[in-house]
Amino acid sequence: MRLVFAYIDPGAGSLVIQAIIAGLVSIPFFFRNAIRSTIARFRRAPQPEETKGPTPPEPE
Amino acid sequence: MSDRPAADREPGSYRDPSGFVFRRDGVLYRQVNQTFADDWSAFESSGLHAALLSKALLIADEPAALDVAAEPGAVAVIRPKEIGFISYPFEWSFSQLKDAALLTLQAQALAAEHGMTLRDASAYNVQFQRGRPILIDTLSFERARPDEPWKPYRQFCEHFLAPLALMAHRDGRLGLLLRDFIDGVPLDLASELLPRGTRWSPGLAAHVHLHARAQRQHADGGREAAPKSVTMSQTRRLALLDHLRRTVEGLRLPARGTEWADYADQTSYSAAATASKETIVRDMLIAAGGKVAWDVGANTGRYSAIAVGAGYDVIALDIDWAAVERHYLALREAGEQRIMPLLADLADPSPAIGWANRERASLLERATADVVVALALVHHLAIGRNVPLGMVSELLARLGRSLIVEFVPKLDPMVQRLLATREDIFPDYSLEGFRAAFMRHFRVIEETVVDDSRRVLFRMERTAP
Repeated sequence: MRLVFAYIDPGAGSLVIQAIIAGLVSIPFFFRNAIRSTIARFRRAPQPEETKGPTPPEPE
Repeated sequence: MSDRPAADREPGSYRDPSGFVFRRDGVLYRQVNQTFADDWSAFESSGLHAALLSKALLIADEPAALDVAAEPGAVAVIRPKEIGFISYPFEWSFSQLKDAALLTLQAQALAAEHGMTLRDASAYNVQFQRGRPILIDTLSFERARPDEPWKPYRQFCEHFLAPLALMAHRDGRLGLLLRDFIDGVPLDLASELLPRGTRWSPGLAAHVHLHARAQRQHADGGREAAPKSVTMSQTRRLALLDHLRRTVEGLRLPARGTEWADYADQTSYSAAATASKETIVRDMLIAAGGKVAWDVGANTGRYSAIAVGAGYDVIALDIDWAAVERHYLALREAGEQRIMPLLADLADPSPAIGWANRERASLLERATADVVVALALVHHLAIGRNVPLGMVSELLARLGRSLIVEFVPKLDPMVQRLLATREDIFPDYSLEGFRAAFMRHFRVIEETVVDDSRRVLFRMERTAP
């Protein structure tokens, strides 16, 4: 059992659904970032810092 | 402690045990409690505090002496820069609330870059300063723990996403639901009120409709009430926040919503009368003197701009959400920082709400005007809303010490329009009646008839509060 420590009630249902939604949206998120960083690499040799997300993470 | 002025805790600052806001000798401070010491030092050492300030996402503060603390258990006291006028989310138009939502997500993104995260996402943590939203709760950040879900998710959806979706997809006036629901619009209610079609929009389907359903399934008592373990990788958390941002950015008011305000621009004024009125108002504003003007019934802000020209900071109130929306968008576009458009009905001003009716102050308690500008307003209250002139005068006297007020006589086409469908039960509505009513709270300094019209402008000073 792992408790989430928060002074506001994060809500049991809200925690469950956000995990599900996050799983779903992480797939397009990964591909968008991958495409973006590929484009950036082709544009300029040293990659600029403008990517909004972090470097493409591994899909889960 | 004995010869120091007492500390008064701000009535709205009680929810979070990590600290609170108080006043001592009129100065605003925020106490940081021992229980929050580690996160507070991480906030500094991670560089997040400096980064938020440099991007103007968080209100500036300076350190204060620890012995100023209001209660035992303080590890730090800061003195945040004060916001001139505190406004509440139910007084904002759609785009103001949307900008506040995006600011919150931007602060979260910056926090994530520094290994930190937001602990809450309350719309009340956002205020408007110099025309832009800014976070005011310096204690909203803590160290991010790996695999932890985004704790403020529910609060963000209830405070921002649900009301924004309702305004965009149902009606612009639904932002006022936040007045009844201080903790945000319940998602089951939002889900029910939203048009069915929104179930096909991925963002709203997920964050409002499915979210509401999940809340119902895990509601108190049920077997599924406590999820054993909800973990979430950093990547997924970023993906969720990115999706929330896209969902908020994708919300737009239907075009017709903002065209409404055009209607209110139509007046019976000729060009000559308009020019004359502008000159008179400008001169009266300069003569009145002061720092803050409340433009009551500002519509899209023609006279608010004149007040800025005369050196005032302006709170521009209007009853029509579309006018407030249009005003805000125009100011944002122009980069005008000295006007704060606000949704308010003078015949039903924002009440005090929350715990003991003290958590969020009423509009009248927040009135700080040096000059009140009430143009083309009195007939709407006196005839449109049946408020006796003496009561109109009394209320305007409560808002500020100087008053620039326009009297629109009964024969004016705009008043005739108000009377067109009803019996004239207003025998006292005349220049003499107006003067007599207002003399109970003000004395007239000057009065001028607007060229090419029957309207009269008065500048008055308050005599009785």
